[in-house]
Order: sequence, then C-alpha cells, then structure tokens
Amino acid sequence: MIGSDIPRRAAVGVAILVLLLAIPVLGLDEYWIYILTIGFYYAILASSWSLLVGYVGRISFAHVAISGLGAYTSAAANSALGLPLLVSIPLAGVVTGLVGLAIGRLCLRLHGAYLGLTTIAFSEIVRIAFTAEYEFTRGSLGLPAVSLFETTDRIPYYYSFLALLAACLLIMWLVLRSRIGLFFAAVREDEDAAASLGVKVVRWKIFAFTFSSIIAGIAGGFYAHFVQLVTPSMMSIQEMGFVLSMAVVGGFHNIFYAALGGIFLEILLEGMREIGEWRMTIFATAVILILRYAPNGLFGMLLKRISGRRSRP
Amino acid sequence: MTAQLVTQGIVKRFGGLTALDHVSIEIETGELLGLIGPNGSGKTTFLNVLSGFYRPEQGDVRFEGQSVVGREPSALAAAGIARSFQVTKIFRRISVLENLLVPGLTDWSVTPRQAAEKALKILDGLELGRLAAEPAANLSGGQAKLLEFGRIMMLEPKLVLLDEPFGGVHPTLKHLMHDTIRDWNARGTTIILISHDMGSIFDLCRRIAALQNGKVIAHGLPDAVRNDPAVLQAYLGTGSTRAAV
Repeated sequence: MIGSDIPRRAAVGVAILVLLLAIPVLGLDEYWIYILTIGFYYAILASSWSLLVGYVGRISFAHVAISGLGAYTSAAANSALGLPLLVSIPLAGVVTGLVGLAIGRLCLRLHGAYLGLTTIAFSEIVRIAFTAEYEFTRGSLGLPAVSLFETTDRIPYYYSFLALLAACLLIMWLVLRSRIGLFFAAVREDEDAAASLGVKVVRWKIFAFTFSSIIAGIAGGFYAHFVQLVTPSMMSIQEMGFVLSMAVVGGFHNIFYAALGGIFLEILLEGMREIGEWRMTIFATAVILILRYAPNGLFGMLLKRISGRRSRP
Repeated sequence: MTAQLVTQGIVKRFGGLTALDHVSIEIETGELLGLIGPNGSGKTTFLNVLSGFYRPEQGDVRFEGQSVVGREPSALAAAGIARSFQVTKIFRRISVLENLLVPGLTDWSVTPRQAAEKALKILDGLELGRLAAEPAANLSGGQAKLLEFGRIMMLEPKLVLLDEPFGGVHPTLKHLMHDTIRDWNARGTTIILISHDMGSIFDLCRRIAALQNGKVIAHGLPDAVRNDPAVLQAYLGTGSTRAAV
C-alpha cells in the first residue's frame, strides 16, 4: 500500500545491499567493519523507531531502553538460565514485545509532549533500576555476555547484523505495504476519522508499540552477544538522541531512509571522533536544520532529486 | 416501516452544561431525517453519541433492536453506522484512492484488489476518479467533502450521519452531493442530515427534528416544523411570527 514507486526503490535497495555484501570482500579495514556492524544495529533501531513515529505518529523516547532490556534479557537468560542463544535472543523479543504492549496500553490516550515525557520517564526508570541493582545486573559494571561466534574475526558479525537488518526491514516493509500500513497511516492522520471508518485504533496503536519493541529487543539481544558486555549506558537518553538523530537525518517517514541514516551517522560519528563532544553539537544542529529544511531527511531529499518525484510517507 | 434507530432519554453533560437533555427520537429504516437547530443546540453532540464518540450519562441508543451505548466507533462502523464530520477529516498525506481503501479493507474478507476496484468506481461516480493517485491534501474543500462521502460509501452502511456536509461547498458540487444523498436513500439507507443550509434540508428531508439547548423542540413534517412557534423563536428570537426557514 505504501509507496507506488516500488521497482525504482527496490533497485536502489538491491544496489545498496550488494555494496554492503561486497564491502568485506573488498578488503575494508577490520576497524571499519566493526563500525559498520554497529551501524547496522543502529539502523535497526532507527528504522523501527521511525515505524512508530513516522508511520503511526506515536513519539517514543524509550526505544533504546527497550533495546537494552532485550540485551539484558538475552545475556541473563543465557548466563543465568543456561538457555542457548537461539532461544535467549528470541526470548529478548518476546520480553520486549510484552513491555511494548504494556507501554502501548498505558499510553493509549496520550499524545505529543505527554506521550514523549511518559516514555522518557519509563526509559529513565529502567536505566536507573538497572544501574542501582547489582546482584543480577552488576549495576554500572555491566553484565557479561557470551559471544555470538567462537572467533575474534569481525566478518561473521558483520554479515549476521546485515542479515538481521535486511530481515527486519523486509518484515517491516511487508507489514507497512499491507492493509496494516494503511491503518497506521489513518491513525496517524486522524484517529477519530479512522475509528469512524471501522479502523480499530486502539488495536493498531498497541500493535505498533509491540511490533517496534520486538524488533528493538531482538536487535538488543544480538548486540549483547556482539559487544559481550551489557551496561545501563546503552539505555541512556544520549543513546536515544543518537537513534533519533539517525532517523531524522536519514528520513523518519521511511524505514529505509532511517536505516541508511543509522549507518551514515555511525560512520560519521567515528570519522569525527577527533573533535570529541563537538560531534554531538554538530549532530543536534543537523537535526534542527533537516527538520526545518528537509523533513523527508537527507535520503528522502536525495531520492526525490534522483527520481524527480515527490516522496510520500 | 420499523424503527431502525431509537434514542430514549439521552442526556449528555459537559461539566455544568447539559448538551443533550432527554433526547428521544425514533428513525425508521430508509428515512431521511433533517436535524436543525441554532449553533450550540446539541446537533453534533447527538451525532457523536449515535456514532459512539460520546457515551451518554443517561438514556439508551438502540440500533436495530440492540443497545449500542458504550460500543466503540469502529464497532459501530462495522455494524453499519457511518458518519461525516463538520470539519472535514480526510487523511491528507495518503492518496485519494487510499482514503477509500482504509474503510474498504477493514473487512478482512475483502482483498486489496476488490477494494481498489470498488473504490475506483465510487471515485468515478463522485467525479474524483482522475484524482485517485493525488495526495488528498491537494483536494479543494468541496472535493474533500465528496471524499468523505466516498469513504462512507465504501462501508455500505445502513445508517449515515452527515454533519454539515454542504458548508462552503460550490453549488455544482452541492448538486452532486444532493444526488448522492438521494441515491443512498433510494437504496434504503437511513440518513440523518445536520445542516444550516435550510434549502437543502427542506429539499431533501421528509421529516425534520429541531433541537434547542439540547432538547427536541419540534419534529414532524417539514412544513409543520417550519411554522412551529418554538422553532420560530429559536431561530428569530422572542415574538417572531413569520416563517423562520
């Protein structure tokens, strides 16, 4: 349903995927392979956040907290309960899906600033609780997690995260181009009108929270076993700021643009490491300028230029 | 004819304001009822109660024999009650066609292809076919009103609630809207029409109810309501004797 320019966009997507598949073969430095792998993690977070904000019109600042919950769930389920990663990572998705469902129900009648502030409060409650608690989470020292692969080679991680990103984008795209995507758009545009036309507004708002939380949780589960140490800092408001910047700079009305924003900004973040905290100032300025002058994001603007067509949410 | 919709003693309050004060109306299947009254008389509140957006403090709404108080608007839409809004509520950032697909696809047994075929036919009938792929934001005010009509038609409702559909609409489009309303009604659809456009009300409706301060002050045949002293007073003030409408 969403996007009438599918063949052209699919061609661009396939080209980008082929390029990303070829990068390790082309002999890119291992350090940048590592950075790109983290970029794929952020791309999943940025795109699943944009699904909620750009498609359903529901703001959330709890997305990295939910991803962090996924990371802790998988790490703890593996180390404390002895569950294999094939079980503990999907379990992270189940747990965060239930948390997303609870947030969705709690926030049903909240909009705009009220919804945003509620999700910030939730995010901080989770982060502070995991910092203050020591027996299970080891507080700010962090919870060790086993590695995904028994190798120090970065390339298996690179391809795993790329496959996960592709799978998440494919699933989100299939949902968004189905009738559910239209119901999301109707809810975003006008809840009363949607309800008067038979759209179950409550159901789809809760579904959107649950769905995006499952994706964030699974990404967090994978991430735990990549970095091998889960700390409360991955749930910080600053981390949420990164994800928000990535989605906005890429284009949060489109999951693919938001994902590209995640990869692009992670590369930029590392490339500008020498200037330290000034990077954050530059990113924040970029967010303000893009919201003002290019609301479809850098990649939305770029595709519009290339195709000469208007890009619609 | 049998009563399709029965409201019994509906009371709706907003703080200290009683917007609906024991409103009891019966509407028969296939009827076209005009609802008139000055601004703030409770007309839109009444429609909001009928369509599930407001829950009354007292009274009951029975649709086809079943009480529908407390049911969600989406459930009432599925049961056959569709409505338009006083301030047009189209989905501006999706296409004209997609606006119609939203109600068309709420029935999961309908495929996207079937819904699209039906939507295009409806859009052609409303002279919006050539705009099917346009973002709805590009429509004029009158076309947006027609788009709301189109979305209602996708639901194939039994009861249609129209809230000021003619406001700011060009006479040509208004004529098309009149024809559409007559066509729905001829096919057996029950309609409640709210309008300040008395020409349209008296042209279209066979029965009229007048509200003032949340109370039904008159109802019956158009000529009787037009000359009812209470209606004259509501529209023209105390001491008025000539026809108000």
